[in-house]
Amino acid sequence: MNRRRFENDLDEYLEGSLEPRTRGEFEAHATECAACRQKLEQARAAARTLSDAFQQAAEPLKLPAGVSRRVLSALATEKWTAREARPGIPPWLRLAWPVAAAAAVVLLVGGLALHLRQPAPVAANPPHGADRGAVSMQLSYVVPVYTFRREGRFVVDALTYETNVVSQSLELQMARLN
Amino acid sequence: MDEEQLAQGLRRREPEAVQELVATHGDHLFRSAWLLCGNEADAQDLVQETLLQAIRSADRFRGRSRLYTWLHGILLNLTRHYRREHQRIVYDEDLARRETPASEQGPSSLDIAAASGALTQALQRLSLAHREVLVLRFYEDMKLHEIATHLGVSKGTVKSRLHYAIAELQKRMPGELNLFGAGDTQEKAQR
Repeated sequence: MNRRRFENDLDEYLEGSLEPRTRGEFEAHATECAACRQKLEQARAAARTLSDAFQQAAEPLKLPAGVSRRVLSALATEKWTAREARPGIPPWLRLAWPVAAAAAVVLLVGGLALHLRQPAPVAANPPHGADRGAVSMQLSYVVPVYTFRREGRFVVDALTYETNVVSQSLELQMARLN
Repeated sequence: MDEEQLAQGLRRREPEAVQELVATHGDHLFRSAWLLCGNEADAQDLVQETLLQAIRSADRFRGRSRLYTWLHGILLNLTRHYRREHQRIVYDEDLARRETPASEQGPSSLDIAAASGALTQALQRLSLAHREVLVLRFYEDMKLHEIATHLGVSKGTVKSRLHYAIAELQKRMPGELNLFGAGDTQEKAQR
């Protein structure tokens, strides 16, 4: 080991994180080289001095009493979105309404496509050269609704469910091509 | 209450969990904050805000590190923002005056006691980046790789900051205290 390598490994040696083999080489070099040995002793003394000085300076300090009370009162007055505290609403249920809306759209489009593939009923008096028909669909889905209201220092949340109904009708008129 | 139970209690904002958090980590966090910012009032504000932020974001604590390390990470972030907002040199002169007077002898435990006030005073004249590594290494007793992870920098950067910070402290410390001269003394004793 040379001086450069010794200096590079000095911090790791002092904190005890050198590999056993490197540690052996480091210690061997320290016994051979007076200058490096002195560097090691100075670094060790500096570390000890700083550690002792920080401990002695900081040790008399105590976190003033009442901090936990102040923290608790700050938490009590702030608006807590209460993700953890929503009673009975597991996180997956928050996805319920977007999933329901997406399913409704899929059903609507799918139903319409299926219907169009079947022969349309002929209207009572179709205009000459054209077929007429109508498609109607109705879907309902339930949406959870959160409401918040302030009561003095507290925010009270409430959960209700709303049923939404979607109905759509489409009148079709297709001209005969032949 | 183990750390996971404590974290769960904090997620539910249970008063017992908050009190336990303060009782377990409050003092040490406060001392570290004081070494970082050099002022008791600011350190108290920083710790209070650290605890609040920790409780608000307790669901993000996954137990991959110790709870204290996680808290200290929040404290460091707050200290950086705090320093940006309060561009001033802060130091609690009263606390410095309470330290033991300097001895005229060579390095000893008395010297260290005398020097601790001067050292912490000198510490405040370093940049926050240099103060951070000194506090983490010599007060929090973290290893180099832990400091690197904690600060999000390379181990080489940590070592370079440490060497610079120690050299700066040596320059700024009163020479008569001979704080870093223990090595020389030992060398002389061996001869």
